[in-house]
Amino acid sequence: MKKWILSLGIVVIIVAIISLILPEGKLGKYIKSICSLIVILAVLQPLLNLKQIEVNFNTLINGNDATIQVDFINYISGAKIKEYEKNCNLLAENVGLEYIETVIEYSINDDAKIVIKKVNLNLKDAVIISDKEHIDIIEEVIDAVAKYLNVNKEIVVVYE
Amino acid sequence: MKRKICIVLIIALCLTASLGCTNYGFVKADELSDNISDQLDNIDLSELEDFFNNIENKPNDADFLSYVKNLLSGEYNVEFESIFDYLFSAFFSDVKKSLPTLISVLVIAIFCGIMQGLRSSFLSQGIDNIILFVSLLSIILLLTGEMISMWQTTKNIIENIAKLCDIMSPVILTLMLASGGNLSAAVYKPAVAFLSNGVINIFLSIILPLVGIIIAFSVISNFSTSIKINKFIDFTTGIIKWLIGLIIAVFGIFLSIQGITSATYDGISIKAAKYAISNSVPIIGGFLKDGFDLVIAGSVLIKNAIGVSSLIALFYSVISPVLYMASFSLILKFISALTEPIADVRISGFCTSMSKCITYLIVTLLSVGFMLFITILLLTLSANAVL
Repeated sequence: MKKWILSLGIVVIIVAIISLILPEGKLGKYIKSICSLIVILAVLQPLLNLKQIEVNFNTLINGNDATIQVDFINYISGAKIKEYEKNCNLLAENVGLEYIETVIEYSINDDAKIVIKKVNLNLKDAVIISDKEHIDIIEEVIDAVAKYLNVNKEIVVVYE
Repeated sequence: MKRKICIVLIIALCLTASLGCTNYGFVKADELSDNISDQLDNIDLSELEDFFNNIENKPNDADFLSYVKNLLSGEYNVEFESIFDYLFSAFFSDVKKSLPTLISVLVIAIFCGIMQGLRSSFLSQGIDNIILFVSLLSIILLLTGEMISMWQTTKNIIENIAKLCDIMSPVILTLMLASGGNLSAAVYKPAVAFLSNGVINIFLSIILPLVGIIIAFSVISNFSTSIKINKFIDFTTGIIKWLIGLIIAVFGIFLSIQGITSATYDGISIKAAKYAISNSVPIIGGFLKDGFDLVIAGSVLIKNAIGVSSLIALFYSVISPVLYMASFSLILKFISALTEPIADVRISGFCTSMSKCITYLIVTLLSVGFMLFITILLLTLSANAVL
């Protein structure tokens, strides 16, 4: 484009100087029309070279996507999982089982969503604080945890 | 007496309860601020900080992180007085900067006018033409140099805006994903890529060169009366107007509709999840979601603070060149008005057409700035359902 503007400028200056020098008369008119033709050709020069221009519309629309900060997503997912684990312990306490330890195994999918793979409920130091039967309380805890985490009961595993 | 004791007991109970609530509130606020500072430590804002620190003509030396922290703590106040002071001082310093060139143009134009006035008594027609030719050439050289520098500045600022978009969007989209706005992030990711790659490329590779062509055509059409290319200028101007209008309309409508729909969907999903927890887990369901909400609320607040800080960065990047160009264009129009009665029509016509060309540069710059403004605004307003 720079070349085109430069050549256009030179053509225009030359044409202006010629029209300054030229005497009035028939010959002057002819030369002026030839000069105008030359200016038009100079103006249309980029259109004549239009075949050489290649616009890649694919790169125009589908360029580089914004890259997500994976480390931060991992950190925030870890923080969310800690909250889940804390809440599962509270949930068990509410049902009647104190001092249980919840460990959630998870992965993060392509949409940065947490996918819970396994929920481990460690009852090693657990204390029953209810009048209910031992087996019923564990079932209730598994039920509540599965409901809270919106997962299948089968992936909630109890270690005693 | 019994009644009095009852009243005192009730008041004491209320006070204790309210103190308990206040303490609970303080605990939550502390947890939230801890959460925010933890998240700020873990997110990478270095590129945004570098960009913000390299902006020229900022009113103060505050860095990006302090802007974000002030916004998060609610200490950031928009002082309209200081903004107006900044705008006025920037405008007048720009006027001062452009004065030498413009005074030279005015002096040459007046000199040319006086010489043409003396033509009938001392000078011949040929010499008069040569004087006009030389005067016009010197004015063109003076203003074209300034126009090329303005064109280059516009290009640099648009490239800077693209850079801001490229730096800011991954951070905001990450925080959006962290706060549960998965659908919004999925919608905005290609939209932001379209803005930084597609739209800005169209502006850089089609619209800006077209403005350059208009500048060249305007110089040519005013240089010699024998060359008439005003219709070419109209044609190119038409293309620019249509392109800018079309891009803003398509981009604005597409982004707004998609963004609002996805934000609503995300909001409903988050609320549905909360409702499910509250109902499926009796008694402590309401308490359970609190801790989880704090993590998400921290991400949302940081996202919004970064969004607003990016808007401030965009404002300071765009406003200074726009003010310079606006002041230059205004003074050119004034010179055109001053020279019209004295000098040749071509000189005032040239000043007017250059002023119009500057307007196209301003429009180009503001259009790109406006589109990024809309994008940042929608990114900031989306995925806020948790709050």
